[in-house]
Amino acid sequence: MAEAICPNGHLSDTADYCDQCGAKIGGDPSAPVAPAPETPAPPAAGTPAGPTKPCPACGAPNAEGDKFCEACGYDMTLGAPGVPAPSPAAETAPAAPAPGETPPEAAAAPAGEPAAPAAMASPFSTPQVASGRAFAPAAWQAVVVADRDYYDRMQAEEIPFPAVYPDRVFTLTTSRSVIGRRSTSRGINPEIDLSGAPEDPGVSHMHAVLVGSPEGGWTIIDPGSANGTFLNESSDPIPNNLAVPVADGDRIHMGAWTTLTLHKS
Amino acid sequence: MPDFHLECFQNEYLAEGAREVNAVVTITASGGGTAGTDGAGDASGGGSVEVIVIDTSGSMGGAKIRAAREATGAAVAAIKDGVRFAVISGDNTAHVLYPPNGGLATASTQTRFEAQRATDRLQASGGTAIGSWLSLITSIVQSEPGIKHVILLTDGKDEHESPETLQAAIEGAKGIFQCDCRGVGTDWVVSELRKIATGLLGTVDIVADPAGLAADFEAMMTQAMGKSLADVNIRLWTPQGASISFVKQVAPDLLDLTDRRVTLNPLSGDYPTGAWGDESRDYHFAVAVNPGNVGDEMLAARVSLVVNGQVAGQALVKAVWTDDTALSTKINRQVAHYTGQAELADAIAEGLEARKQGDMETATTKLGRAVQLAAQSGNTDTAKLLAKVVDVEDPVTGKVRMKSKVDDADEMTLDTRSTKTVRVAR
Repeated sequence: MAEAICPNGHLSDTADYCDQCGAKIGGDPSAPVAPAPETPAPPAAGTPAGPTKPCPACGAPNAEGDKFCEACGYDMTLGAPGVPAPSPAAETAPAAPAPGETPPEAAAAPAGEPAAPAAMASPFSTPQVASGRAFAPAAWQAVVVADRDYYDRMQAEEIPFPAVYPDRVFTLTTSRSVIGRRSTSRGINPEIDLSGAPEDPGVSHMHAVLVGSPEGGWTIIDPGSANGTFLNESSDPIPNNLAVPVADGDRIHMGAWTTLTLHKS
Repeated sequence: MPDFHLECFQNEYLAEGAREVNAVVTITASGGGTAGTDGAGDASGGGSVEVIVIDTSGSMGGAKIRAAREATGAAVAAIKDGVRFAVISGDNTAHVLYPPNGGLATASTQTRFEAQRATDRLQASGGTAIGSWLSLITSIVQSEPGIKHVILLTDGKDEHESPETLQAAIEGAKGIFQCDCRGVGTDWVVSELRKIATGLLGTVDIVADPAGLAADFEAMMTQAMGKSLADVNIRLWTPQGASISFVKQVAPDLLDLTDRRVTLNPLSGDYPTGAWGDESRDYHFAVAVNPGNVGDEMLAARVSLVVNGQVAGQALVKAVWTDDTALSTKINRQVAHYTGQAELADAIAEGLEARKQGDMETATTKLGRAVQLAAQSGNTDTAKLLAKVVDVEDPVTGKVRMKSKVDDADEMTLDTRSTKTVRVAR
């Protein structure tokens, strides 16, 4: 029975070195290791410590032994652009859901309250069915793209623009959707999870929250992300902990090249 | 069953593009029982078999046959209770001298006494056909369990059968028994006995003076009685795309096992090492692997010791590619030492061969190199033997002159013992 899979993809009965090709199993100890396992996605972003080698596709520095480029997802083993790891949680098929599938439960934070710090302290608790007011059943989607124009404005040259970035479409299914990158160690499990290669390291694990209002609109709150949240090409980030209304077609920029566009179907 | 400890000595760092990985693995067994009654209950399946075969060809007459009788008696006396044994006399054919009805006897005070009486009847007459002796032993011992060890004594050339018959008999005995060979006098052929000893995982040595035979036989038998474990194999795994350059036992003496591989699957094979007592041996592995990129680490070989189908220990031979030439150009001390010991043996063999052919220039060069290597590595026994064949002017540079007159016994002793190695001084 196979005990391990080696870096070259062989099933090996021995756990230390591959019993087919002899490759070391278990990675290079000098590679940066996240404080705790960060889900199957590549380790936390940032320039890796220790020995690096450039990605053959985009030239971004990667830790030796990495199987995928941190920046563009290039598959170092197979030599082909990687398919982005499927984002779990809220990501759904790009097709608009049938009306009957839209969330019926939909509890909403009462109007006027969304910016309350208390709500921010636990933004990922299960949606409270509080006021009994029905959540607007209209289906909203956030389409996430790698935005070249925004990237060029940001001039975050230390972070390369991804070579391949298929659009990610999230259906907003709860009254409150956290935008961020999943972190097992910190217990962050965003509804709009932007982790997985190619990953924008400029996006905070807990970056922003989309809060649905009972009237059917949405507001966005940045609880204090590292690099800020920008609306519609604005060069000034939105203030922290303030609910800013967003409408159909608004573009929300964050990180080095991530842009979310809201669509009401 | 003894505990086995494997230790790997190597420089795992390779330059970019380099393929050849060398490693010396020291295998040490300790805490084992001994043969016969002591070992009856151990994992080897119990019991062991000793066969002594004495050349009784016509040339053995006189002092040699008397020494052989005495030596056989001494060896029989050293057999422990419970060990199954036989004494065989060999000439053109072989026949069992003791036990009287053929087969094997079980050692006891009574049977040892009877066997010693029987050896007094050893008479020298007839020819020499060693292959027929080996075939008879094979037929007697092949169904016996445990360690099967043979002591073979001859004084002459294997001249009454074809080399092919001898070779076939060796092949038939491989894996059945181990055979330590002794040549008495100077009329036997070193290469013949070496072929037998190498094939049957034994030793070969010269007893130039028949008077020394009894002590040698007794020592050999005592050592054989110290073995408790039969059928120990080295299992060598190498990765895909690798090729094995050689597998050698390098201490206590040189024994090339490369051709002895029994393939298990495309990546693994077993090499026989014979029976083990409490002892330590060194093995040199050379494997060529597909080169990796700088920074890559791979397993170049996994060396496992397999006892009765169970892995009793393992050592890992690694390869790490680096662009640091300070790391990759180092040669491990053990590897360098045994590479030198192998070259020493080759230099002696080639030098003696050239000397026989009358090519004194080559002989002087080769034996000079041997003197130099023996001095460098601290192999003083071999250095002493060399000094009987050549006049050493400077052991550091290897400057020697051929002696005009060399005793046959000295030359054969050097030839026979050229594969003896010494270990690295620690």
